[in-house]
Amino acid sequence: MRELLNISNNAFFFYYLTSNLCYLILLLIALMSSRSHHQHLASLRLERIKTSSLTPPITLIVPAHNEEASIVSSVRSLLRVDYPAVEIVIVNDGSTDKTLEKLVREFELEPARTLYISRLKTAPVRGLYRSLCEPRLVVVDKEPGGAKADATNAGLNAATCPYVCVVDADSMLERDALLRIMVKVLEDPKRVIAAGGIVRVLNGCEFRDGKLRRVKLPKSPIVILQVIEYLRAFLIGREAWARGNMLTIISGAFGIFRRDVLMRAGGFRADAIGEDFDLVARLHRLMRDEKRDYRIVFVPDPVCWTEVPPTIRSLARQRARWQKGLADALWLQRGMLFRKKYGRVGSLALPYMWVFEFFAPVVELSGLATILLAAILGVMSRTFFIEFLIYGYLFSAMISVGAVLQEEVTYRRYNDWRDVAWLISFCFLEQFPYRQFYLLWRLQGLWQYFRGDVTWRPLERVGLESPEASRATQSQS
Amino acid sequence: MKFALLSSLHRTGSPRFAASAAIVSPFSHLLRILNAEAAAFAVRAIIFSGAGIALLIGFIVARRAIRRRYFDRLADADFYVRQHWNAILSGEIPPSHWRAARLDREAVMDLALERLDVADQPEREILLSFLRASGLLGRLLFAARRFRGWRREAALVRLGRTRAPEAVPVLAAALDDRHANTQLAAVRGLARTGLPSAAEAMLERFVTKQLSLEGTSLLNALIACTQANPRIVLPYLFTSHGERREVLARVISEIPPQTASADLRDDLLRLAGDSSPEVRASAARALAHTEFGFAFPALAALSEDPQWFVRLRAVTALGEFADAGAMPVMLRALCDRNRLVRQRAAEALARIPDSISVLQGVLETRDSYALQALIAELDRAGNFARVSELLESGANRLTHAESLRLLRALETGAEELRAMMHIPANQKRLQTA
Repeated sequence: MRELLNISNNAFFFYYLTSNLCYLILLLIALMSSRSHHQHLASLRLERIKTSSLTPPITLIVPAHNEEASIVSSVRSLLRVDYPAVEIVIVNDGSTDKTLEKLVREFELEPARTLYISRLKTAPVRGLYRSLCEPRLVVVDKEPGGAKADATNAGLNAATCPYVCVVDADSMLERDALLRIMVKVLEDPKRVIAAGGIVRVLNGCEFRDGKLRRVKLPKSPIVILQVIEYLRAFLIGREAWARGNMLTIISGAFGIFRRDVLMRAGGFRADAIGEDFDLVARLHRLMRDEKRDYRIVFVPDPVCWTEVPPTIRSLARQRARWQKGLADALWLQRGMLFRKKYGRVGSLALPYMWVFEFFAPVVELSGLATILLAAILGVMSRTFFIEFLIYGYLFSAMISVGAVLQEEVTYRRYNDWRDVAWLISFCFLEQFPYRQFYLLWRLQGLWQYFRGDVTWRPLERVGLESPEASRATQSQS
Repeated sequence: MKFALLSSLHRTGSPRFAASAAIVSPFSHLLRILNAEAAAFAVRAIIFSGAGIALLIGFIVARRAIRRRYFDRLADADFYVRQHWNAILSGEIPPSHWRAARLDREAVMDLALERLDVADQPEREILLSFLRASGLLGRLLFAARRFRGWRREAALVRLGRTRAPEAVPVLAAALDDRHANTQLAAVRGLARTGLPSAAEAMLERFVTKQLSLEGTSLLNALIACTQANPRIVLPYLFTSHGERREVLARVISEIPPQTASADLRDDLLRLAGDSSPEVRASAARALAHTEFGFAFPALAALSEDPQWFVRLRAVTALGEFADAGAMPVMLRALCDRNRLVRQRAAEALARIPDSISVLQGVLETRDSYALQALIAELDRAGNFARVSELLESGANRLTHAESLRLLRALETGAEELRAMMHIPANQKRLQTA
């Protein structure tokens, strides 16, 4: 028993130390990367992209399933996006609420005379509509496909532009987001096949008439914790991985892709649970199989604001789904691991995802259990046990504070002193008890995956401008 | 770095291994080599993390406080300078009154540069004279030559904003700096001058491979500095090769219409026959800024290029003219094997005012996809109903029977579009697109 505990403790400690070291390295790379990106920003000439008649058009694909609460304001905000040539394709994925009716009423939709060819197989399309008041707006009405990927594929079939941008229906793009993200693409159009922007938390912000009026930190602790998570994931994780062309995920809420490459890759996998991670992994694989010189980039300044789960229940469901999606995509791409032709993605990024994302909940739980047992049985010094816990707690908090610092020295969206103070305080609360809950949700996700429960359950939405959201904002301000 | 070993931590805190050595031997051995004092490591790690947090928070707080104080004071100085701007500019308030205080000087400089950005030529002369006479330009030149790091970079960009001819040699010298950030700042500064001499400084270094910056900064700077006289790029373009040649061709492709002079046009035709597809595509783009009569033969030839993106650029450029004379080329492009080319051709055809002739031409192609692409574009442009009504009413130059034929084709094509929605793609052409 003691030997087993020793082995387990040793392994766990090494695991924990390595993961912390990885985070520290990612933080340092991200800090350097954002510094150089910031210098680059100063020489940006967005005006040139905006005024050129030869700027490539973009199709914005918005899959919508029961999004009646936010669809109108979301479309309005997309119509305001500052880009010379945009086509907006809303895919009504068999909504059972009034999503389609609201769109028809608000945007005067009429049946469209547009060629639609199902190159990517999807659930049957019932009709195509074009707005009379906004000719750029097309709505694809289809049977429910059971997954966002199916709806996105229908949008891809209907898209007519060489670049497509997938945006969530409950999200809002900043006006210059497309111009900014396209800068990176147009710098190297031959090699850049996909680009991801940053996704920020919309809850708590003032949002009216399709416009973001004021950025504010939400009051709800569960949402603040997600703000920190998003900052850490995007400003540290993605920034650092993208530096080495090892980005393995472009958020489903905001990413731009070359349509021809997406079509060649077979579009989004309809039965994927985490379709965004799955797609990027497949794109890496496709490009490397075809021996092409390519880049998948992350651009930290174009912002997409998104509504995050406001309750523990919906958050738990979302995180369990993310874990299932991760497991699903990693398993399918297991053939990429440690194979020379997949380069750094196969030898660094994916192994990292396996070890520190996929196995993390299992290792963490078993590690904590054995350490606790070892401390109780006297195999390990209790003093050291406490020291180890303090170290773990402080180190993780340091990485989170690093994410806040990264935000502070670069984009500074949270201007108020109090917001920053809250963010820093929650960096400490995040480690206990939130992290432990998160661990359970991820375990739940893995359990569901292994049991074969891979159904996609949509999350409850309050809506960007719903009375609930307005009340919440008013009570906070 | 020292690693810790939980198992070795008994009450004494010294590393000791249990009887499980056989099982954990290689692992433990490695650990023993790497570390002796695990408990000490844990304490150090706590101190490191704690100190890290304190430093990070301290940095955030201090930065916020310093920035706040600085910007408050700068705002005060800025307010004072704006209130007394005319007096400062005319010399009524002599430079000695504000030059000594750093924030006042900054405020004056910022306002002068701000005005320069939007000034017309006479005002620019006045502002430049002011910058020279007050010694602000001299200070900037000094900073751009002598300072290091971010202070030099900031000075270089500001120097460019003055658009003073004497700034160009200093900025050009900074292009030879070994730090990429300084080079980038110099390029940004040179771009702001918009002067042909700035373009030459960059071009010389670019073609001799002394200057290579990633991204679009250099391209943008070259475009900005060659707007008045794009011809200065040509000698460099014709003597360069590979990627550099393509970049310079892209600079030429951005010429404004008024600068596409007669002698430049001949060079554009030469570029249209270049061996590099990227250069041909850029030439097509540039030809869009000339006259239709001149550009048409070259663009028509480029619309049959083996490379799809050259054809796309040629068709897009022809579409810019919205001239009915391009219709035969557009109709051919409407049946292109590449989807984007077809689409651009349909877009361009839908913009031609004589929709009836366009429709007749499309029907003559006997290509149902071409018809559907046109219908889709007419619909997108909101012209479908207008064309239908025109044919229905008979208020056109066609015979009744011909009008009816076109109307039927238009309606059948639209119906076919709806019917096709559930048909999977099995057409060869769509697979190749």
